[in-house]
Amino acid sequence: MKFIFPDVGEGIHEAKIVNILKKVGSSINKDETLCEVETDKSIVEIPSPETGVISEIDFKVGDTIHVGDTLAVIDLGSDTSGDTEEPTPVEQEIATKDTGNVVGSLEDADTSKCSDLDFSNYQSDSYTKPEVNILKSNTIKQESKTETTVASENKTEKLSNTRKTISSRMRDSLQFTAQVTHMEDIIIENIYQHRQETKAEAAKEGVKLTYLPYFIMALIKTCKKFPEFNAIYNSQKQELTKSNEFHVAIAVDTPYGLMVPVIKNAENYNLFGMAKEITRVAKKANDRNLNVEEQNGSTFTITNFGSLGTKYATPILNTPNTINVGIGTLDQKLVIEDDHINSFTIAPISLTYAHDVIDGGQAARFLQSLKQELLNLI
Amino acid sequence: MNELKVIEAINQALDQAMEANDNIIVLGEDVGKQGGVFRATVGLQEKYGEERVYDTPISEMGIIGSAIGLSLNGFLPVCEIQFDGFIWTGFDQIINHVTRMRSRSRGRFKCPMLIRVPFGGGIHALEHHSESMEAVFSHIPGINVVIPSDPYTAKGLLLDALESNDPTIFLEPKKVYRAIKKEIPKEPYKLDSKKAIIEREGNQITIISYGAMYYETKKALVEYIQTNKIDFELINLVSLSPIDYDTIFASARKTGKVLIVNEENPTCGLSAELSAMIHENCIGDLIAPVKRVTGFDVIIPLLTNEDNYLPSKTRILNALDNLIKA
Repeated sequence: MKFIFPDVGEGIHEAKIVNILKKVGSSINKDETLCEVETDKSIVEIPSPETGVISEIDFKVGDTIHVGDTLAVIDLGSDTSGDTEEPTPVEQEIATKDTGNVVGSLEDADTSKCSDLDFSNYQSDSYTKPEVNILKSNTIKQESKTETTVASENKTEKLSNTRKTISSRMRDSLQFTAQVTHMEDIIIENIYQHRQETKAEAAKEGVKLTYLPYFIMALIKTCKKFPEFNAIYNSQKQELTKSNEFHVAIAVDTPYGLMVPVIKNAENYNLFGMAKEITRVAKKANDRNLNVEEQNGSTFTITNFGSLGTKYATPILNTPNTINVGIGTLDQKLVIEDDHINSFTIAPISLTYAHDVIDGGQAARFLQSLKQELLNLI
Repeated sequence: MNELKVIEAINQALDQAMEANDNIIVLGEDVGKQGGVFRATVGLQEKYGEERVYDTPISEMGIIGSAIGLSLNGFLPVCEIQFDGFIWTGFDQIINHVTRMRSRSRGRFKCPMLIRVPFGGGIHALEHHSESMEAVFSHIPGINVVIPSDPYTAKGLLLDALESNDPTIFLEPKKVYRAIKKEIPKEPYKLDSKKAIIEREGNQITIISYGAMYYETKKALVEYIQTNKIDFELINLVSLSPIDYDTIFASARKTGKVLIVNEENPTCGLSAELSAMIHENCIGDLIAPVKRVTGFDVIIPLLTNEDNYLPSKTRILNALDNLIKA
């Protein structure tokens, strides 16, 4: 029989052949896809109207075919059943007009009838709904929660001596200085990379390399250009002493409260040396072994709350220092550069300064300079 | 012998309805000489003439707007919108006039009409030809939303919807227009277009779907029950406005587990509404939270990615299996 290209609907009169799935001589089942054609709007699979052997394919891939053209000739062979005999020319003409019999199925050939999706003869296993439900399981959770929260009494405690010291120092600081905080995200991609590359080497030498030594080194370089940022401000006498040495106080979170050990002459350390010194004083702080000397004489302060997941804060001045630099948790920032979007590691910096001796403009310039120093550090 | 495809069942239903009711007018782009973009109206103009079956200009606003005039004057218009994505220029007419004519006139006027719209993806076409926006229509009071899924429901629901005093959006699953063939009664018959159809009753899990995804869901079930003889209850939702909550809630309470499958963007979708209502009303009887298998919250992709958007047999099987084991 001749396989006439059917009307595929959508007002399409012609289509381009994009794929032929069968060869001359191969057998094809009824509803099996012979080829795929591309219309203005879609790719349509054209299924065979009959089962047989393809004796002729009149088109090749890329050809344009019109409705009514002969697409292929199918030899129906001997196993043809009665109702699939070759239609007379008149019947064929009707078939191409009557879209029903010939239009391409958009589905797999074997699903063109839904008899196989009939569940009327399906026998399931027997099933009984269990005696559980969402509400009940939630109720159990709520009950156990109530048990643990019942019967705890409010307790009033005296402050420890450490807490008393922290409290009075913080209140003095806020009472006698005018504090302002600037916040800025600084790209530290180079430092991030350097640390990744150097970490293992440092570990071999027994050094735990964090980001803190990098920041201390860059801050020292910046303070050299801005001497009032590395200074002692006596608010009672209204005197400012700019320091030529760099004694860096580091705020350390300990089980006993805030401790602030000082790294003396921090300008003399290299990267690993600084890292070692930080580890040493932090350990002493945690062991509550710091002597008075090790907690006094700082010229500026760093607060590293980033390691605990905070991004920004308003650090309180560790008076008589004039700045307290808060370093937040590192983050990623997308930056548009020359039509590209790049991702950079950034450090959120919160710089608190004593407005008594430093103006906002100077603080802004300090942060810009710190940016440069961090960029040029490695 | 009346073995028909979905599109042919719609054609037969229209033919029989027009024969029985002289007031039915078919209008739309290319519905006349051409017989419709999908051939749903083939032969109707020849049989009933150009006054009852006519081609309109390319204006969905014009099609629905003039149908309002026809309807108010006693005709029963059947509008064909070529693709779901084209209806929005006529949406103003639907939301501002078609749906509220009865309410606005305090019942003095009614505005019955049938707006036939092929909906859903799966034919590898462009995005305006593939969307599943049924929830938008379900959201509006004053119009029924009906979705057949096979030749039998297509004919029966269409004939029933034409008897309604209210307008109906008849969303036809274009993916299965020609994919499903079924022996259906030749004589006219009606299926309640406001009632869900329980295809199989069961106690273990409720599965709700409609349109082309109903067929996809059945395919997944056929595979699943090869190895797991689950006692499932399968519901063809059919009416998306009003929703047949009597049937849905009774089933949810009985099984305690509900799977919903459709191909819409899930946010604020029909599946979200069903899920919320089932939780609000049946939570004490639920064993597990309702599970949804839907499209994604993106414009439906072009053909290379379309199959990743539409719920696949695998996604349905995974959800089904998770819920069964919950």
